[in-house]
Amino acid sequence: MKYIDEYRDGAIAEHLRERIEQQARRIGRAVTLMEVCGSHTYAIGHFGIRKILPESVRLISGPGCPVCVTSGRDVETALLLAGRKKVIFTTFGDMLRVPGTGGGSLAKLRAEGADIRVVASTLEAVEIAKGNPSKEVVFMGIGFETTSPTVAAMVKTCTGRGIGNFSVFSVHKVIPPAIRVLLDDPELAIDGFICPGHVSTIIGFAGYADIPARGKAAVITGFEPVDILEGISMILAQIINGAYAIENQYTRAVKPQGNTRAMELLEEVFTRAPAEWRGLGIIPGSGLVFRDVFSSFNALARFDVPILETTDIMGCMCGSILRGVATPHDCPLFRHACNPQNPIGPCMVSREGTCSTYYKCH
Amino acid sequence: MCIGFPGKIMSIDENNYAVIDIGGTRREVCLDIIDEQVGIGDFVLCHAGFAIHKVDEAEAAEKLALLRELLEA
Repeated sequence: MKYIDEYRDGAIAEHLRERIEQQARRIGRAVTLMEVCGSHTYAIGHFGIRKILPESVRLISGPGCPVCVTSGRDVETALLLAGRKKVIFTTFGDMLRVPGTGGGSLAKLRAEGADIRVVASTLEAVEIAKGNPSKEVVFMGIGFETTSPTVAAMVKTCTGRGIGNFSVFSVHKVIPPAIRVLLDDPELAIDGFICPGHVSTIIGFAGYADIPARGKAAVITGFEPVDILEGISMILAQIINGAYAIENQYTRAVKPQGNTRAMELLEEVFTRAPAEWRGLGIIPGSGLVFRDVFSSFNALARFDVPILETTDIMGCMCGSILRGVATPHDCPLFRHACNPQNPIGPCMVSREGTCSTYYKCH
Repeated sequence: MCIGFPGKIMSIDENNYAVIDIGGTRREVCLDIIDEQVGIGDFVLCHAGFAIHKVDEAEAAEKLALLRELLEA
């Protein structure tokens, strides 16, 4: 397939691997690089990137999987909404098996009779709303800047077409504030960031300025093996030269200014608010909530949902894993009590969760 | 979850939806949030039912040529 196969070329990949080996020797110390996109976590595991890198180049995963960083409270709130009478709850499939703090999940609730439907886009959720005028269709709005403009676009479409039985439970988050939290974390010593590809398609270079300002490398990177290896090599070059900047490996998909139309839509419909991230706690300005003009689409207000009290899942280390201070191997539940058939924490559920990737690839 | 895949535009309808081809599989995507003019034959990056970016073909070709040159160097 065009724009995929060429970036899986073994000869180019091998050449880049050799270059990385030379660069690592020149650096002469261990370096830690973090990816903050779940699709990178998955690709790095799936293509075996870790196994072919020199030992001194350590890759760690950050809070890049939207399902994984969704707080226990938000999972419980989703369960509450999905259990309401007359509600058709629509969600991306990743969310279905994520356990709440009380052991429930959308999948279990569905088995008990709740009308919960998996959709691949907001377009499908709105189609369901149009086809079921006597029901209330709630869409679980989850995802980073790549996804939230699609939700903003649908909300505007619903306004234009007078579709009144569609609302969104927005747990959308934005990436730059989370990166700032990671930069401030005294337990983390990251030398460079593999910046997310498709988030950057939307936001462009904006939001990453703190990384080079703090003396760390930042390279926006694509998702095929050649992309990832080239991105890592570009990061190592920044470290060697001591010249830190936001660089773009993924030029075929990312412009410096991003997708301005998508950003305008996002800003028109949503405004920033504090959001709770699993592992990182509450981060100011990292969540997206509806602006007043669009508040009728806010499912929390429409269904008068109370703020729930929740506790952490006992023994689960997803929080530390999402911060990059632990790997799945550090978690006593990993592979034993917690596995893909019986996930205890969200990082084992999502295909791009760190624990799920480690289970399959390491 | 921010998964995106490149597809070729085969047709565009009056509601601003395009049929795209991804290695033989056809899907429908909405063109409402893309910020560039696109037409039949263009490659677009798609995510969750929407085209989000027009693939810069010249840029991609140039970069790939550079990588291949390195191999011969």
